Amino acid sequence: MITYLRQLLPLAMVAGVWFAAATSPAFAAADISELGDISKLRDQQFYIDKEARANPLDFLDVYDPLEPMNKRVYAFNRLFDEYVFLPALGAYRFVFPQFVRNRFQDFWANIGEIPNIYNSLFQLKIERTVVSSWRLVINSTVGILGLWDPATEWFEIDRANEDFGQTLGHWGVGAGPFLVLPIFGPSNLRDTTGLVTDYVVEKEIDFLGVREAQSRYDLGGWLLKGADALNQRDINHFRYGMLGSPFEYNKVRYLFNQQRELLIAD
Amino acid sequence: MAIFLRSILLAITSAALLAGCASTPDSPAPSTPVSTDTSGYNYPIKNPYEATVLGTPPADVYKWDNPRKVKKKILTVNLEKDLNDITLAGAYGLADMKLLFARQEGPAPLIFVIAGTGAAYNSPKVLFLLDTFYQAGYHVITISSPTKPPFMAAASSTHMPGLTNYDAEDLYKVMTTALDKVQDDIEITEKYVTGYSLGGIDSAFVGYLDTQRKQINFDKVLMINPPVNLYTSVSNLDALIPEYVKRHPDATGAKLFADVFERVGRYFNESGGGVKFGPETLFEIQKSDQALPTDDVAVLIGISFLFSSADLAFTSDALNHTGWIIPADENYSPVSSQSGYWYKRSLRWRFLDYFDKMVVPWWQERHPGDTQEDIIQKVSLFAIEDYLRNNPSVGVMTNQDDIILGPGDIEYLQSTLGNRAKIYPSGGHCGNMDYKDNVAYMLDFFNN
Repeated sequence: MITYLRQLLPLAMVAGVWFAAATSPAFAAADISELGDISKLRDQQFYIDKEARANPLDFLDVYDPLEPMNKRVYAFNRLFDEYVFLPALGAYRFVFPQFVRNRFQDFWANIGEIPNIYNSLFQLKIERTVVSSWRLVINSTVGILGLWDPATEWFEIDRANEDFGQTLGHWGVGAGPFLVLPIFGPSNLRDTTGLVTDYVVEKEIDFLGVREAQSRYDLGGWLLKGADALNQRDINHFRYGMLGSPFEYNKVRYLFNQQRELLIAD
Repeated sequence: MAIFLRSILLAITSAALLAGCASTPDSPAPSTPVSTDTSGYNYPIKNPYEATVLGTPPADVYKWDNPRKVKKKILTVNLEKDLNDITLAGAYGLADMKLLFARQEGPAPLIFVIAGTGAAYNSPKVLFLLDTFYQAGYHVITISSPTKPPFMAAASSTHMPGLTNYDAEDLYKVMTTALDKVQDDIEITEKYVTGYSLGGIDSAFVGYLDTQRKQINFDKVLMINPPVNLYTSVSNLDALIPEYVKRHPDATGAKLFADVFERVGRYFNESGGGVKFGPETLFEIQKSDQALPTDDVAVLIGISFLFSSADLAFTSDALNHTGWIIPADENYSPVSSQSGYWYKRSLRWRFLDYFDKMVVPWWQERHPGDTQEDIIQKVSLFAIEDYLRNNPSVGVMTNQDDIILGPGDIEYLQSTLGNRAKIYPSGGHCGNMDYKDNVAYMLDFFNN
């Protein structure tokens, strides 16, 4: 699971809340009460409307009590992507050729093998725990600190992504309310908890000293944060507006939920 | 954090293949004379619904010997739209009219590619065509379907997509504007236009309009899997869900989707490698124990069409203020409103509802006395029959089992276009577009 920009989370939270507040001065109070009113109003309309009486489309619903705020953060993310992230990505791709970017990608993926291991273990998926451990050992040694991925290329050991959100889901924890996290994008209460937990645990384990160094607020720390973020954006093919739909938010929300269910079930 | 889109979208919305057909191409085909002989045609998927959803297995896709890396850039066209519309559109992130442009260094033909219903200038099938014609040595410009919300907001004069004659005017404006923008940078030898599905009929109407306006002067026009009678095509697609429900009276969208996801999940479990989508995945699933029944495949096409129709009806309503979906007295804001409600409300609009309730009144206001039947005639291929019959530069490539065609449509194409109609025995709707024989035919059509 992509936990990109984990290092920027606190900053991003501040920026997102600032944006939401700036675009709607009293967003917290006004919108949530407005939501209550509107849904009552619409509920009436809903039941009056004959066509709607048995709505076969209710399965598209995702529990999203914070929708007005989520949508503002979503809008913020879209602008951030357009004016900050994608231009930075353009520069990143210009400076580093594909070969070099592949090395970065393998490197970060190898660091990310740690949560795969302990989360597989937490879910008592012993085979996956062993597989992920072998991948870590092979790629960190033969693959030269993870810069290459011989575990996949030569040994044909496939990667198994597991994160703490999936671990919680595996033991029956529900998704909770849908959340759009600033810059990170779609999530929910369970997976956000997972994100934070993985962040803390990974920093404790501190494989190769990367996560600790990355969390510092010095030049090296910022460079590592940026490199991690750009790598994640590089391999992520989503572009805002790519669905060209006025219901992009709804589609993303539904698909995100389905994808998480799929990942938890497997 | 949206890698998820790529994977799940592949599973479900690749049913959305109404919009696109995909692959990678090869050297200018062995130059066979244009003929309608299709004996020895071995496209592997015989079921038209599966073909429509799955496309061509990667091994059978047209291959180029030394494919070059396609250098393409986004071309933004500004058409001086009504500010109010742009503001509303801007709220959805739909305000820009974007095209893709790939250029050759030396003199070369320029081809415009028009996307199918609900598909964008950068959708998989459009990218496949862009790549094909780029490898063949053409300059390429791709355009979203006029039914795509960003086109409706930024380039449509009517906001009533589907009326092919009006859509052709909008497309023509986009094309001439784009041409102005690029023609100093490139050397153009000839000009072509093509499109698949709705984009196929669009390209013919654009070609016809061009014979009157003469601003572009197209040398060749190729329709790929176009509708003949637009009403027949949308009726066929609209009917997929009701027909499914007739056969499965207790079916619900929730159950169907749960079933699809469950099968996909079980497939990945059985294959043991975790959740990973590749070009082969859908074919592998269909070969496995978890293969979706044909019925389910067909209804996925219907659902995908329903989703496109909902986007279209909602956007048209929001831009034209018809009051059908958003009540006239509703203070609608894209950001603060409960989008789920509006989405579900829009999803109750089948394409024919859009036609009956929004399009017909709009048309009749402008053409008093026209009946529904008149409108259908004027936006279908019959309206430009003489142009199709007498113009040797216009061709069509489609399939006997295309699910958007009705009885008599194939015969109509054959009698109107003669040997310029290439009809393959299988392939469904656009499923064989990237099959080796089909690509060879397309290249042959334009090259010779």
